[in-house]
Amino acid sequence: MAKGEGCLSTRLGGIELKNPVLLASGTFAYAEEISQWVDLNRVGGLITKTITLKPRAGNPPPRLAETPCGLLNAIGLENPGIEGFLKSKLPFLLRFKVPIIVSIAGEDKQEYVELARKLQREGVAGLELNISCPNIARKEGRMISQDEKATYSLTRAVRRETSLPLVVKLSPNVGDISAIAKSAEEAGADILSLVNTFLGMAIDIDRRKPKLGNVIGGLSGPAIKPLVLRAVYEVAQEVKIPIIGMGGIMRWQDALEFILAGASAVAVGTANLINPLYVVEIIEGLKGYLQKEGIGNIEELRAGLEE
Amino acid sequence: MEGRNLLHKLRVVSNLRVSPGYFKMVLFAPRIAQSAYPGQFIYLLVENTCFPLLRRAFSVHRVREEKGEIEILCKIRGEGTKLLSRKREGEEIEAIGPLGRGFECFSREDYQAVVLVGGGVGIAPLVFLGERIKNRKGMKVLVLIGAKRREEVLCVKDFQDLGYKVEVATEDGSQGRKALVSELLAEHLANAEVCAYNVVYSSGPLPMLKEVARISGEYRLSSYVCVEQKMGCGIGVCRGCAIGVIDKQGRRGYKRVCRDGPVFEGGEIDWTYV
Ligand SMILES: Cc1cc2nc3c(=O)[nH]c(=O)nc-3n(C[C@H](O)[C@H](O)[C@H](O)COP(=O)(O)OP(=O)(O)OC[C@H]3O[C@@H](n4cnc5c(N)ncnc54)[C@H](O)[C@@H]3O)c2cc1C
Ligand SMILES: Cc1cc2nc3c(=O)[nH]c(=O)nc-3n(C[C@H](O)[C@H](O)[C@H](O)COP(=O)(O)O)c2cc1C
Ligand code: FES
Repeated sequence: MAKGEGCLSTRLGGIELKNPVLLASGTFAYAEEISQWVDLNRVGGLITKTITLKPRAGNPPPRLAETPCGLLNAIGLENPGIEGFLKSKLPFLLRFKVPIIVSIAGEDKQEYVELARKLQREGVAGLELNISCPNIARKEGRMISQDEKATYSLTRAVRRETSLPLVVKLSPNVGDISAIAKSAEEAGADILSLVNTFLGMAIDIDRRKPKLGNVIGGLSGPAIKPLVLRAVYEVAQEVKIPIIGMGGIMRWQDALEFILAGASAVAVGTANLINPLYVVEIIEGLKGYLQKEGIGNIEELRAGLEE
Repeated sequence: MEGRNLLHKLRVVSNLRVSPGYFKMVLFAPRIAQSAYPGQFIYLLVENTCFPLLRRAFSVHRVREEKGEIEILCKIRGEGTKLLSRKREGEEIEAIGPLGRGFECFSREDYQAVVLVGGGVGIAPLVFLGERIKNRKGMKVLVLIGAKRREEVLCVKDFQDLGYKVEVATEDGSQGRKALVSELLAEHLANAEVCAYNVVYSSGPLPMLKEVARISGEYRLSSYVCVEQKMGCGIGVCRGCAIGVIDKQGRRGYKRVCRDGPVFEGGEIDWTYV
């Protein structure tokens, strides 16, 4: 731990973090390239790109479209599959002295369970259930996290399979996100990730075509921050398990907003694509703020809005 | 931490309009000037705000190593390029680069007779390439430039100054031949004696590159194409810049334009969807 960062250490549903700033799934791949830029031992934790049972090629291009202060993506979970991940990606990730949380997604419940089983004894710090990816075909047009019962039943099934800390990542594309959050908690989730991307679309008027090859994608970046803050604020009052907040965090001030709204940790996503060093600036910024304000530990600020 | 050596603050030396909607920016970038090779790009943070959010990619257009300067040639397309066109001398722009795999084969000794085919602003990296191959003995270079109309024909003089033969095609016939630049290429290859050329380097819009790759293939010439794609990270982590490829066994897949490219062998790209 870098000197003087004790004030940032925190516990997240059974996972010890030296600071509450993680890298969000899908925005740093499996650390190979980004470790050339950032000393990953500085970050609080890493949530890998989502892994599926079989390798996936991903969606047809274009996969990205920029919108005002936001980014639409339709990557389509391009990944080497669990066997490829265990063989060629995980050993590199485990070199870093930070918790590695592996994000997983299956086509059905059985696949999630199988993925959890395969990861049980691999030295990872936890699993994140991606039940909120907007970029893959969904059963009956819905994501699991759009349905309370499906969220409960899936979380429960994986909970039975694994003793690893279990993160459930929720979609914001729902009417009542607190209800979904409670289902995940009741089913045995240890931590919630809020949120995955918002469904969105952009159109090229010259060609009269969607800008994304997949037509619809997921919106991330600063544009979504106020929407996610609201979700974190409300869910934090409804559940007892800790929340990792993410959505548009670019600077330390954004991270602090999430913590004040009730998040125990934050994850940085889109910002990594702009500058892989922003995450270090965020950690430094939080530390500086605590020191300036004379606050002993970041946990004192959690859900710390003044009346 | 090699990546960090690619992070720079670049000072604008000059920024000039070259024709309506196009500008050329000179940047003081000694480390990039020293290490970049043709086909690589730099990735500029237009503003240090959230709008535009992502960086913008530009090919290295020219390098003046002795002055530590590089040039980019840009077309104004949307908000990002509009803001860049307004940057003044002395302003600083945050950049990463040089990035990507460029025309790696440009120094191959056996590529003695070369055709450069550029479309629109895609011509930008070919000027850098043209400069780098200039001093090789016995080089024969033909430059074919295509554009929609006269105002968009760029860099003719740059190539003439290098001593290369230049031919222009415009879609509306307002300059040079009224034709597609790929049609010029087809004619040249058809009329040339056997093995008159041995490689085609091309950069421009995808439909043009598709034709260039197809025509070069017909004459069994190697072709290398520099492609554009919407990009996210620029460093290979987000998989946002995918382009369809097809391997020698006919298997389809995706590669990353930012890291595996932007230059690919013409036969490597899966042109079906272009
Ligand atoms: C490797 C690479 C090298 C490039 N080199 C040059 C260069 O030398 N000179 C130059 O003028 N441009 C170059 N481009 C394209 C340039 O990056 C885009 O024109 C620029 O990002 C547009 O930004 P904007 O904010 O002005 O437009 P936006 O508002 O982002 O988009 C406006 C329009 O431009 C199109 N567009 C945006 N980005 C790209 C892109 N990356 N590729 C193709 N079309 C795009 C969009 O589809 C949209 O219709 C290059 C792109 C890549 C990937
Ligand atoms: C390019 C890209 C790829 C992503 N891939 C995944 C993924 O594989 N799994 C996942 O759970 N979330 C994925 N996300 C969502 C992010 O992890 C995060 O939840 C979301 O982007 C909001 O945070 P941000 O605004 O900081 O990016 C992806 C986001 C982006 C921009
Ligand atoms: S732009 Fe992110 S992988 Fe190429």
